[in-house]
Amino acid sequence: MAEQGAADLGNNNNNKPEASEGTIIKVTVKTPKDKEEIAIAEDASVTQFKEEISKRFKAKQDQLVLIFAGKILKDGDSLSQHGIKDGLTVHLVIKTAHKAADGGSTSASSSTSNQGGNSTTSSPAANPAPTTVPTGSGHTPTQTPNIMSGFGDLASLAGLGMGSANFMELQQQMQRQLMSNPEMLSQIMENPLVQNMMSNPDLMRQMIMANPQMQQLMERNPEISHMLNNPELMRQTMELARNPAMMQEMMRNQDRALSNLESIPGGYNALRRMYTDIQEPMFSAAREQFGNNPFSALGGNSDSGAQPSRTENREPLPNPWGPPNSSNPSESGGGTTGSTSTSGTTNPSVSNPLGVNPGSLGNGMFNSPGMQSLLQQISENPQLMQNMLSAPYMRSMMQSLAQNPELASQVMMNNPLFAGNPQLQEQFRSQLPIFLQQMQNPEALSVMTNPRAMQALMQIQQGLQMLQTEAPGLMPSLMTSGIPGVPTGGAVPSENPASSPSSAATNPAQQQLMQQMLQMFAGGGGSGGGNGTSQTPEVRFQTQLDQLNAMGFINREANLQALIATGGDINAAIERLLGSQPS
Amino acid sequence: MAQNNSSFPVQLYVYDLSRGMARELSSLFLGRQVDGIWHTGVVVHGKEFFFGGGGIAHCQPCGTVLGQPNSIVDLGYTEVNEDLFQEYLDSLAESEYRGDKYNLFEHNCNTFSNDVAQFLTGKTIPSYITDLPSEILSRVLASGSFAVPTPPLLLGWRLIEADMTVELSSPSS
Repeated sequence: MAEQGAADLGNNNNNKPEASEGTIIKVTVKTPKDKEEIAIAEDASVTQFKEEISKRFKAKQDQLVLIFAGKILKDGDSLSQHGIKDGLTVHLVIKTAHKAADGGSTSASSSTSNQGGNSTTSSPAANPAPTTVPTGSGHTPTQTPNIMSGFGDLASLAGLGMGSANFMELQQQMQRQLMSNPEMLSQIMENPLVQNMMSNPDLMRQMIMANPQMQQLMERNPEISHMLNNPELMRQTMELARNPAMMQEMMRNQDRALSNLESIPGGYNALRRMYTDIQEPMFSAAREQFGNNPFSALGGNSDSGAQPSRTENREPLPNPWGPPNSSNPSESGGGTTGSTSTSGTTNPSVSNPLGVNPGSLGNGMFNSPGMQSLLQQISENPQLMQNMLSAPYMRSMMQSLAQNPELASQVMMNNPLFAGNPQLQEQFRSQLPIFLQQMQNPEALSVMTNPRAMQALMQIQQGLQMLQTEAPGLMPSLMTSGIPGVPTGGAVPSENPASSPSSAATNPAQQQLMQQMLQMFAGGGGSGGGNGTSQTPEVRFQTQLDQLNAMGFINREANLQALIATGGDINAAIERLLGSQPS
Repeated sequence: MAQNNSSFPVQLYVYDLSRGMARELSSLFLGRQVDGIWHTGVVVHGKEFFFGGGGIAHCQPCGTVLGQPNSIVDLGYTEVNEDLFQEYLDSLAESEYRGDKYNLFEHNCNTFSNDVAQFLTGKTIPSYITDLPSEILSRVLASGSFAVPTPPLLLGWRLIEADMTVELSSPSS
């Protein structure tokens, strides 16, 4: 039975079940391209196995290399020795003669050429010069979409090519890529922020130029650089970007062309298609969710975190201060925005950067486990917040939003969350400038990244809620008796009574705070109290400002900042002013 | 038994494309916890191999834009030497793993890593990696939240791979 390496084809022992080798097993033999099931005797030798295989795969036996469980099966071995049983899979590599080289160097070179080969194999319209958009049908029109797709992909490359693996930048690139997807495109294009970005051809060009890939490309094909430098072309491309239908047309036409750009766009198209497949069901699902059962997640759905809050918000809340919560720029992505709500009247301050409205606690919003868990998550991972907030595009987005409140409010409005709730819109709009200002304030950011601060905030929420439930009648009496050392309002509280010369309501700062609290609670109770929407900080802190002035802090601007940051607490403000001289 | 063949260690490098974001935020946006958006590469013979939009590519271990992996899974040893492996990859590259076969959900870097791992060692890669796309996909559809970073996360996955393969397969490198 010990056949030598030379295949003894006439020997029937291998195939016939009646042969003495025992049971026949079916072993799957898998090549990179193919898969076959081969029946072989259980105790056959590898050689015999290879004979079978060579017949089935039409290859010479010595071209066959069998691998099982990481081991190469040698002719002298037997199948059972390797544990090859019925139903298992053995891998096969059929060596092609000229590749069966021994030296490592050869494999290295063949790997390179094959890598190159990989790219070209996948783009049948293989045109090594990517710029000369292969359809070649006219110049500008075909080149334009090429650039556009170039934007889509190469811009992303630019981001990646800049060496930063910062995922936030990636997100930005991704968003840009999304632009070319028609459905998403119209959504995003409506976003004036994006339009701003897009209308800056210099920016775009810069991004592209920054990519070493692109630079290489340009060397190989000067046409590309011409295109980039042609403002006319750029503008056309921008127009194209704004017009989703045309975009789609062009994109479809350029399918083959795109694949020449080092085959990225090939996958990119697939990606777009894939995204379309996802977008559709997502949109309809979104509509359903919002439309059908708005209260389903009201204050208690532990799973969806910020989601219940979004859903809730769609409906007119009994509480006009009902936490708008959720996303400021939802585009900016992420839980950050989920927590950075500017609810009700509470102006965001450093000590209260979330602008958390304690009065809204009763609403069940912030108490929803989802919200809590969100805050918890955030507090547990300050790095995450830091990362998100420091994302460069986020920064610039914030800046542009801050500079352009209309823009920001528009962004808000576009967010379907707010679409159905004009109250929310109003609130948000009024809060916006302050909020944005706060976002700019690195203090605010750093507090958000400070887990202890976050925890403190949570405590504040809880405290306020307790207060509200325990002693709703407490409020008026607080007015006259001063604040108990309850954690309320900003981080101000306990300091305030201590700092104020008297606990009587005569202390203007205290009064301020009381007023604030009153407003909050009034809001919590219904429509009572005043409409606490912001008086400007200057007005609110007028007394404090005066005091600071009297003390010798003449920089009104800085004073104001400090007061805002500390929520009106003079002492804390003074500390800030003293401590942060350079800033 | 196979002492005449040397044994090459095989490892799986696992990267989280979301850099921690998925772990923190996925439960918000997807309604369930996803610990990471995983990208994998197989490291053997001193190189890291992976599959992206540009096809199969390889680089120095930890040499992609992702830097250091989140975790390294030891897949065992293989007798397959470099040449043989290269041939295997070549055939893959002509068939199943051409660049245009890339599909973010169904046929991605992790699919490739899984196949290669099985080829080299007979073992599969951990299931939490291969199960990811279906999890996310089902969640994305179910959650109905469209202003969500999740698609960007996945796109990022895709883009990274595209970029990596492009960088690495460019002729001058």
